[in-house]
Amino acid sequence: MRRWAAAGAVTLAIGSAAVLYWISYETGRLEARVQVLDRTLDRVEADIAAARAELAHLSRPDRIAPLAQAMGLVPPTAQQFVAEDQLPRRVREQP
Amino acid sequence: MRSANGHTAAQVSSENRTVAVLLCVALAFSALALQLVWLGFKGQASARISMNEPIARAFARPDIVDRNGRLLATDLDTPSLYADPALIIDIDEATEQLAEIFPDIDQAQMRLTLADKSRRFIWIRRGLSPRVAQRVHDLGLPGLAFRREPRRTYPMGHLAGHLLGGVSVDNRGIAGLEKFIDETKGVEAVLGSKPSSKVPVRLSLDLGVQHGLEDELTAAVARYAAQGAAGIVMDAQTGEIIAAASLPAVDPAWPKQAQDPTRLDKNATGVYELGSIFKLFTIAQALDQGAARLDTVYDVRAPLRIGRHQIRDPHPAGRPLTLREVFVLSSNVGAAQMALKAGARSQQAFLSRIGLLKPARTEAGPTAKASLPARWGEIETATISFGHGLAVSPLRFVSAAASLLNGGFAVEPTLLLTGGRAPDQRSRVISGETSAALAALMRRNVTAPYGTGRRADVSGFEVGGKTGTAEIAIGGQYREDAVISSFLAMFPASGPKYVVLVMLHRPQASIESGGQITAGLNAAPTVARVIARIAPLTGVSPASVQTQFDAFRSAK
Repeated sequence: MRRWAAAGAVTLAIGSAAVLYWISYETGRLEARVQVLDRTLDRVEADIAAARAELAHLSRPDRIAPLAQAMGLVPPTAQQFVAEDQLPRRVREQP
Repeated sequence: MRSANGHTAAQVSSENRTVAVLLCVALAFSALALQLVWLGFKGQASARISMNEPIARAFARPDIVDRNGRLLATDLDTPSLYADPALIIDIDEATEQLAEIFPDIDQAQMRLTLADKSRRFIWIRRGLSPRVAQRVHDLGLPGLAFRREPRRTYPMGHLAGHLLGGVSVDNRGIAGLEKFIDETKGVEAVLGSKPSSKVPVRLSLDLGVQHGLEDELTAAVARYAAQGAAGIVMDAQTGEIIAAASLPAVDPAWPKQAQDPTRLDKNATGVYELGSIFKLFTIAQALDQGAARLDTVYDVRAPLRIGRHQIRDPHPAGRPLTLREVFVLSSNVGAAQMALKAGARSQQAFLSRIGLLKPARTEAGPTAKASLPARWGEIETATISFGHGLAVSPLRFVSAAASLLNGGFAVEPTLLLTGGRAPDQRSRVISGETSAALAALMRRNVTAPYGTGRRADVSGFEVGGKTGTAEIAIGGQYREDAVISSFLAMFPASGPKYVVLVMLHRPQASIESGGQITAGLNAAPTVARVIARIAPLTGVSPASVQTQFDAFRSAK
């Protein structure tokens, strides 16, 4: 009995040591991966911020207005507004 | 001595010790196992370093967006160049090569700084563009390195520059809305470049309307050779500023521009005698206090004498005028008679009640204090009735006018989106009837063939308004050739939603203005252009559409 218990305890100790070593190794590996992902995330977030700023800069009104005017577009006037029921229907209602 | 199963006492004691040790080992392992399970659930494996401000040096700021979510200001990740003097081999070479890239660098100072080997960190230039950073990198000089930092960027350029303010080299707000963000929303101290985790600050501004206003004001400055211009578009019900511009403009990326006296924000930091647009207040007071009705007649045939002063109309009507006509023909004598009947104290109390005499405060900062007369006597009462002798900031003026035209509820200007808050019923300053009468009078001034504001009409949007041409006092003397030409407008007159003020600073006579400098010939047509441009963007239905819609609903 005593021998079995001692053997079990030794096996448990060796097994635990192996598991602890594996966990420690895995933790280190995951931490390195987290750092890589964090850096990637920062870079992607910075890229997104730059892309949003660039989009806003390219769509700023003082850039779009001359382009629109060059295409013959003008600001809308009151005469271009009609109530919804005044719009011509494309499909005739079925009787 | 032996036990029943043949073991000696010593053997039993040894067995007990073994069991005890085994139990201890088992307990220790159980504790370890529990700890692992606990850590697994808690999920906080990595330690984090907390930073304080002196180490961080840079600050991440929340974005600023307009009412429709369009970006006005954001942080960008930019490289900043620093030097470690201990690692620099040839100071002269480093200085000369850096001076080629940064010509404004003080080379003598740079040599001295880099020679101090006791220092390990010196900023050379912060917030570089990628191209400049690459040029420095290509030098391959030891002892020079980059650090990533957030840097404030304004993708819309100078648009709404006066309102946005600016930031310091550490990305801290130093003026305007940027300063407001630091004081109320807060900024995050960061090491390196991390975007802010705070939600964007949503403004009441509409970029489309802001651009329309700035564009038309720029065109007006060129058309009438004015020294400057200012304009405000305000939601009459909520006090939200939809657009506000002051020319010459400033670029928020260069905060020092705003300190140039010629570029000060005329809407907030300037106070002006705004001329006849003040008659709106005089008539509001007379109507609301029951001192006059719309058809009350005033004898304006002769100039008004007060002591040694004489008040006259620039274009005398030559006949008695009703209150309506006093407004539409802009009679100074009629307005002065109204104010004198009420008295100085009553006038002061009324102007104070509508908020005109105290500075306004928006998120971009307080407006300048009104310049009150040293003595508020008879002559001052008379001149203030038509906008001389009392100087106020345009922003304060517009919010007071909005309070009179929105049904009579006091509103305070704001640059933040309020989500269409209803006016506070306890803040009534004039009756609803007076407010409606004022809107009708302003509309009449635009539709009447002899109205001073007839050039401000925009088909379909029921514009109402009042002109103001105020002579500027230079060296203590009012000069006829130097005026501030302004136009206060609102639309639609049947239920004013927006109040618009346009102010031209010292416009010159031109062909477009018929060789004159009066507001009806320069500020009024400018307002018409502004409203024609912005009304379709504000969601106001043209009158014709509203009529069709009402007819459609009643038919249903």
